[in-house]
Amino acid sequence: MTEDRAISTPDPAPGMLEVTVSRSGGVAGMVRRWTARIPDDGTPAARAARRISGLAPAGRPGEASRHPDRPGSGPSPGQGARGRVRDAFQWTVTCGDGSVSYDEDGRRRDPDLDALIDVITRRP
Amino acid sequence: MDPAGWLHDYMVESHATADVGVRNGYDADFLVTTAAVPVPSDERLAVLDYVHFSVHQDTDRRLAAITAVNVDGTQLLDVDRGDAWRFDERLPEEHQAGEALYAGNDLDRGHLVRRRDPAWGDGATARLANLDTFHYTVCAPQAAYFNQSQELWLGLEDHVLGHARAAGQRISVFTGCVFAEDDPEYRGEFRIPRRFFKIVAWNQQPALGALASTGYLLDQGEGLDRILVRGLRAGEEVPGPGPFRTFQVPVADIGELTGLDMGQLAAADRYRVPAEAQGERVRGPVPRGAGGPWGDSMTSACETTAGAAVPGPPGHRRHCIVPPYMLEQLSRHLPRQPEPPPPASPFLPPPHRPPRGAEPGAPGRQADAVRDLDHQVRERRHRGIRPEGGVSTPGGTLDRNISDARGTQELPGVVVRSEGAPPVADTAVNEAYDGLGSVHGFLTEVFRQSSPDGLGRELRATVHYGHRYDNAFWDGRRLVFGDGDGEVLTGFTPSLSVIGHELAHGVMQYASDLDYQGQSGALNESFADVVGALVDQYVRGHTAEQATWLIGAEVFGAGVRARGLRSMSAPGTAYDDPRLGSDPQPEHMDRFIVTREDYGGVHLNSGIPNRAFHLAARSLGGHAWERAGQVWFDVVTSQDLPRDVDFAGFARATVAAAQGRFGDEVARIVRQSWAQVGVLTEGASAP
Ligand SMILES: [Zn+2]
Repeated sequence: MTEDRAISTPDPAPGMLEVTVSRSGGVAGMVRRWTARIPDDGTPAARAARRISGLAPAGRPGEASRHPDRPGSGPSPGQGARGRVRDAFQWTVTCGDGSVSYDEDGRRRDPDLDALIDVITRRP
Repeated sequence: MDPAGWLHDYMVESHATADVGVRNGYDADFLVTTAAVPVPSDERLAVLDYVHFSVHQDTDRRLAAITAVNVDGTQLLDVDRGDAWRFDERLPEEHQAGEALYAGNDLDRGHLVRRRDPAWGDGATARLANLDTFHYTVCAPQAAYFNQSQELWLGLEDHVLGHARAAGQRISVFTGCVFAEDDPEYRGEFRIPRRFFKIVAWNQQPALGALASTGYLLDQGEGLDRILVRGLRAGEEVPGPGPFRTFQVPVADIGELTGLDMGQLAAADRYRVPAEAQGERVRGPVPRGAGGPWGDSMTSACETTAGAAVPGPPGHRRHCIVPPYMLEQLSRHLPRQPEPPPPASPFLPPPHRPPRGAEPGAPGRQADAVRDLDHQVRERRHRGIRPEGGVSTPGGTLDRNISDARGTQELPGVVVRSEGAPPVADTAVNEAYDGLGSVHGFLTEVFRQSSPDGLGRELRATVHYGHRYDNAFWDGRRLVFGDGDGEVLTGFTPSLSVIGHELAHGVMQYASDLDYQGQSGALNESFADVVGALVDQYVRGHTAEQATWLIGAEVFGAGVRARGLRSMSAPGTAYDDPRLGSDPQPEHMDRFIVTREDYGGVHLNSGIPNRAFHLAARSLGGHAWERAGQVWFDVVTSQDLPRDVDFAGFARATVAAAQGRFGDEVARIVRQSWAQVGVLTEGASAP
């Protein structure tokens, strides 16, 4: 599944953050993408976006791969008892030069990121 | 085939088989039950014996009152079909119905004895049997609409055959016309039966010789009148609702309808009117002939098509040997049209949640209506239909437990149906429950594997996970099903291949537990698809050739241009829709996808091993679970497979397993299949 809700002007206005969320996997194995801009206003979603873009420190628990760069492989689907999830969605969030990939559990363990994905994917 | 050619073949085959006397007709001792099973007949009927079957012809009606065929599932042969019909010389032509009945209209010559049923034994015998089914005495006029429906009607036999495996795959099938007083006249010399019956008999317990039987009725519905009265041709107009409805009915009722003494076939009937329904009158309108046999004696029936648009005779919760997936198959081939809600059932409370798509904010009344219709179809599919015949499971080994997350993402949710509990009002719950039963039955019967860890764990699932959540997954302990977005994906529980896929992840977890990334992840995904496809084929009784090889054919909303989530036979062709894009799966190593998404493309590159499995199964022929499936299962459950195995390593393991279990020829075919997708090279020496 492909869905681009991009607002594709090249340069975000000052005070705005452009975020792309990609959802892959799931039993259907289809990829969906959403791109949108959000104000850099200190909300949880903005905090997550700034962190990803390198403007804020990164490395939260549950983060599966900050810069996934291994061709032909992706991040492990989580740790512990729920590491055996199969057909989970994989979320990749890109802002600026930064990019992180999470599984569903990783997403949920990071409330800021969860909020960011919510904002981007639900934005009309 | 031209008539002269047919005659030539017939003479050749007759000559070839004359010495062995194969034209002995139906054999009453075929099932090896404690007592012989004679054809329910009548002395006024003319008996014609053919190869492995007999026809008891009503010479006044010029059609068969009943046919009886012995089917040996272990010896069936594929033979070229003939297509030239002829009179049987043993009977005057005025006692048969030929082209005077069938020419120039949309009435099919419907085989009463299915063409392939008697075609078993040695090649000459099978070919003669096939030709024998092209006598006019063996067919009856059936409205040409909805061929798929007719295929389903014929496919009932495959389904029962699948269940008769314990009895050496032998069944006897009795099919005939239900002649009624008000059958419409046609062309001045014929009267067309509106209904047909089919009774399938098998040996339920070979050690005891216990006969079992089950009966069905096919109703041609309104489409027939349009052909007869108005000369309607296919494609001109969609017939009214309700053409070709199939019901499971008591065999005794078929006896009453036909006037034939069903004897022990009725006594052996597996159909039971549920205790709570006994004594109940039929609710709702009854079809034509109300007050006649339908109205009085059809205490219950299992309606098996979406022709259920017309509130039909069923008024009870029903037992049915036809699994919901066959019903689904049929409903998908009937024209979509607005349907009234299903008739109120005295036993099932209304659903406890609003119809799918009725949530606040669902866009557009038309979309709402479509989703509501989908909901109704699903509800109807399960309303009163208990697929106790889906797949049987050994008593006591199955412990299902279905929970409802009620729209949250909290697991496990609230338990809403446990093992042995009756169906609930919620379709998704029942679909998950029944689907788990079918997968469990398949694993137990075919691979002797009763649960994910093989140790008798309970099978757990949660439905209604999240809000419009368009995914189904295995969470390490249970299957979890979202409801879908309600538009493109309308839920996953209707799909047995998806349920099988998810449970296979559980099997894999306790077996080779392949790393879920890259090539080993794609193999993990592929094996899940293999199990999903095989369960679906097993329940339908499909051979590798008959199967669709689609995963998740049932999960899409109306109007979505998709045949399924994946096609194992032709990866990359399952869907092409503006909302979905086109299916990206590669079918060959040349097109292997390198990506960071989807854990390294595990659902994408699985197309390559999927196709290898399909090619192996097709080349090996027969039922895919018997050889190809067994080989793959052997590999995945072996202790030797590295968790990070790549395609080539897995392929070599399948070749070795094929060699070990089945020998050179199967191993050669498996290797060849991997070569065709570019994973192995053909002709290389042993792995
Ligand atoms: Zn999967």
